[in-house]
Amino acid sequence: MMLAAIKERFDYRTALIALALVTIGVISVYSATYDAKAADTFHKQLLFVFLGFITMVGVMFIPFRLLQLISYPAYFLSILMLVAVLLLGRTVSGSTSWFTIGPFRMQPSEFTKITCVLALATFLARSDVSLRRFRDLAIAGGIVLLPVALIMMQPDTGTALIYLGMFFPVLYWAGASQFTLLSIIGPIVAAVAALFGTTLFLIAVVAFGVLLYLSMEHRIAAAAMFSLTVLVGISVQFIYDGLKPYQQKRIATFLDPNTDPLGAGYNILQSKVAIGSGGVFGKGYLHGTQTQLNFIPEQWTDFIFCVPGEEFGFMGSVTVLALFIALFIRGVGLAATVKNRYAGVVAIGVTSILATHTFMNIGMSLGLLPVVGVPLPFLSYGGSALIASMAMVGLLLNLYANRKEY
Amino acid sequence: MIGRQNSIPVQDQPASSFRESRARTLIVKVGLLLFFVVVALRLVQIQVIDAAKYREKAERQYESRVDLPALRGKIVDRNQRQLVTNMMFVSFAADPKIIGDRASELAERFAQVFDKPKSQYLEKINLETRRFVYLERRVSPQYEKRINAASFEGLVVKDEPRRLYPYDHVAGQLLGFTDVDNKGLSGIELQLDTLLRGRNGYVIMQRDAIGRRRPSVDYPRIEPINGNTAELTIDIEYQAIAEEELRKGVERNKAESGLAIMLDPATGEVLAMANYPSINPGDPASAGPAAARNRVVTDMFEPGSTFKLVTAAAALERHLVQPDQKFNAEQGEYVVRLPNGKVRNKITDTHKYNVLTFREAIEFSSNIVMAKVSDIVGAEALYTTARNFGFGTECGIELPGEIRGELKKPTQWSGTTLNAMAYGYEVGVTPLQIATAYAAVANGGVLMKPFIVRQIVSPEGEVLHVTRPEVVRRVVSQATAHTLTQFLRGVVERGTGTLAAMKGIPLAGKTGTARKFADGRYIEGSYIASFVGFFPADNPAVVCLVMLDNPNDHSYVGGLVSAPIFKAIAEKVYAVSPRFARTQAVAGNAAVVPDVVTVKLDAAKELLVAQGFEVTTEGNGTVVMHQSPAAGTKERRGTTVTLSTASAPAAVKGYTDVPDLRGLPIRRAVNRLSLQHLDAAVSGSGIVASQFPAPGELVKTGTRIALRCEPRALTMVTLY
Repeated sequence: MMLAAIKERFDYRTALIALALVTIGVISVYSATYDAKAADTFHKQLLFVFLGFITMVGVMFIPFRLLQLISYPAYFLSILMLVAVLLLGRTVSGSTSWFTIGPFRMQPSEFTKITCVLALATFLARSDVSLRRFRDLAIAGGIVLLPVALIMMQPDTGTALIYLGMFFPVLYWAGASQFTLLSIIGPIVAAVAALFGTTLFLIAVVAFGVLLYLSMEHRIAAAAMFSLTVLVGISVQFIYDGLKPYQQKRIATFLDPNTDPLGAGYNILQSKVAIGSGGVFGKGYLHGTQTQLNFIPEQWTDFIFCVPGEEFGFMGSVTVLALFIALFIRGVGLAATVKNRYAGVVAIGVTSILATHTFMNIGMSLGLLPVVGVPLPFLSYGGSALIASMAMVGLLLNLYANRKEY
Repeated sequence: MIGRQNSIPVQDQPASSFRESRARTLIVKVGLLLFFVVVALRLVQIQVIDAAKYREKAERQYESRVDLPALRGKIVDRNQRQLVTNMMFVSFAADPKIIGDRASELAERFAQVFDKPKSQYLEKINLETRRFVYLERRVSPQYEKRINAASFEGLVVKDEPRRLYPYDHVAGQLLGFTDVDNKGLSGIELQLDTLLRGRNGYVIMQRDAIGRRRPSVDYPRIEPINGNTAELTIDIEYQAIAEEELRKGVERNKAESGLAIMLDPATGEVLAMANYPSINPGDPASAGPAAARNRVVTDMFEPGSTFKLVTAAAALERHLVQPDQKFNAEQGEYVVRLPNGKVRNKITDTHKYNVLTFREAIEFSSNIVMAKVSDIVGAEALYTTARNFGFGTECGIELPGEIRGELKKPTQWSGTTLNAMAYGYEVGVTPLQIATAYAAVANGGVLMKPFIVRQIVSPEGEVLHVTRPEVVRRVVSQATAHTLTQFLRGVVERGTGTLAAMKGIPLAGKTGTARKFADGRYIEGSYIASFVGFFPADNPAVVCLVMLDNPNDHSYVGGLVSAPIFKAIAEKVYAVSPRFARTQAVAGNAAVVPDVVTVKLDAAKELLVAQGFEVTTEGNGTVVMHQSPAAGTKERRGTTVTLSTASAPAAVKGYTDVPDLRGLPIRRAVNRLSLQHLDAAVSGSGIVASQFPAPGELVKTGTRIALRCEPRALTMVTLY
């Protein structure tokens, strides 16, 4: 009876998946820092894991109503912190995204992701708000774009992209029209496709046109949107030509790291070599040559996926991937289960944030996506990111417990 | 954008939105799975399909193997004098990529130290396409300090031991030489290559991301195993004497080449094996492949008169001819006719004689008489005797390229073969076969297998292999051997070999002059002149063969050309060698008593019996504590060696004498101490250099004996 009651209130599956991922993370960070004169990195990570669990449990037990109540204040507070960090923060690797508090550093943008989702959910859950209304859509966009703008000023492109990765599914979930979604995604896809070449750009434009037509929207609006998209795509070429050579090179390396194997493409090539050389069964724990010999600088942060990839091989990397997917499927399932609209948006938002992180990070490690520095949730070294991720799991657990509340 | 004003908020119609919500969930989940599939496929591509490619890339990045060269084993003579040893050289190589912007500095340093233009080095270091360029190869290790190699990241210093031949050309062909990688190419170096070579060790160095090399965590360091030491039966002093006298003889007689062998007839040990012109194994490029041949075993000659020994042995052994039996020597020209009266062939002698006894026929080397003797002996007996003396088969000596010569079976003989073979034609022999045949006579009729490797000793001092003298067979009876020896003494006393006679040293020998046979025909005016014999004739210690190829000055006859060389060699050997002083009293059939102290009794007995000694034992222990006669003394075979298994002789109860452990490997030293209930305190490694208390001191059992050990001296010339 007791057990059933606990199961009723506690989403142990999600918790176990998160625990497994954190464990793999600790093991991986240990391996990556083992011989890199970064032993204290590992010890710090252990502390972060501890703090992360406390945070998770804490968030889990926040009363549901209180959570809704503090959503806006938390959002504004975190925006203030983003402003403050720009003025007072500490610059690490070119980005001013850190507060230094005693021996620890804190990255407010990691927490703003959560408060942004909470604020967005609070707004979208209002009965008088509809995404079919332009005003409401603009407000929702504003909630997201405000922190994005502040983060771009740091600058931290990767983290900013995460917000967009969260925003799109949330809009979809909250009932935005197909046309709205297409309007957001269209120009982005067109721009990226244009970078890859004319053929891809044309394919993207045609596909976009067809989808716009199928969305059965207002003809004039659709035509306007289509034109805008084409314009964006074409202007990309002009913008590219107008860039300075080093900027062009950076973009070219983005697209094909092989063009600069010792420079910007170095990390991505090394990452592929590390993962690829792991083969099916890996080289064994602490025996990954690429990891142990530090071919990838600061591997324990953004390239942590190489560790299971190299040392545990295909088996290891697929296991990690499968754990993530399982977590996300549960997140989406939860979003569909909860009775409360606010809870649904939070669930989908939180899941989207974690998923975007995961796919951007792993995609980067495998050379599928350009190198943008985003950590892999649960695995990468870093206190703010880990604690934020655990807080998000805490949110999911909280929502599960309160899934029957209206 | 334009939102529809009439759109209905979702939460207002939960019933209809239920299906919509399910579809939405499904779409999102499918989207997630799609991502999963894309990433998983990418993983399959990288980690399964292309894994080998990436693994190779990774290995190229991180691994490089650095050999730890094993020291090739030394070759020493019977008195432990080092014939071949090693000298350490170093090579400098650079990894241009790591040197990077210090290239100029490094080139400058090298230019200073080696006094060469800086540009020469800079050029090499700037070869950016390579990761390994040699800057200097095989130079003295002292340069390592002067370059201060450790201060340059990316400068590789490789140890490269190289063969060193302290006696230069002496025994050049015998020892042979190695290639640049220290692999044996000829001679003993080739024959014993696997034993001498040792095994290189290695470390897998890993390169980390910035190219620093460091030992791998994954692979253990494989230490090199140094090669074993080969102790030869050669006495380098004999060898040097033989070569020097051979050189003089060849030059004096304007011969093409010459060779000499010395054997211990009692054991078959090769004491010297000389070829002239000599080669310097330290500089093999200076000699062609033909010159590098050890012709003592690789070349076949028609022996000429030295082969008469075989004919005589066959006749005497079968009592077919008496030593004083008279033969018509035909005035130097003997026409052999066929039954139908036709001339079959003509046999001539250099000197014309009317009548000669059998003995005189040997002394004066009459072909005619020997031909007649062979008619009495018959084909089968001559063939069998030749075969028994070892002709037509390899001696089995540990040298590469030994041939067996050519001894045809009687069924293959032509009408002239029997007579021709009687005085050494129509038979092909190696010089070594001649020498061993004479050694058999010197050894009382017992043919010993010649050998040149005495023992193989591991780097730790453990004896891995000892060659025991091996009896091949009794060829002739002791009596026959005695008679033959008398014949051979006559040769030197009054016959063709008088120029070899020495004052005070009885000598037995035989001359030989054979027309040179090459490319299927006899070369006009070209001869092989030889002299083979042993001394002292009454107690033979050394068998020696001297052979000159095509002497071209005043004479080509063995008795005139080679006998004086033989004499010079014998006299000098006699002068330098203490062994004659000691062994003169010892009977001919003698052997060195092996050291069996601390050896188990059964094994000791076996060892001694194998060497031909009788054994008696004292005491009821299982380990030999004392032996008499002492190890190293030369005794006649059959001598009784007394082995005592009681603890050290004259031991007072509770006390014991400290044994002399100096020069012993640690293991043996400790072993020996424990037999006397003494403890060892070892410092250092290698062999015992000094000990305390001193040998012979009386100490209480259980006393700790301090042993200070030193590594075996690597070489005598590795010092700089």
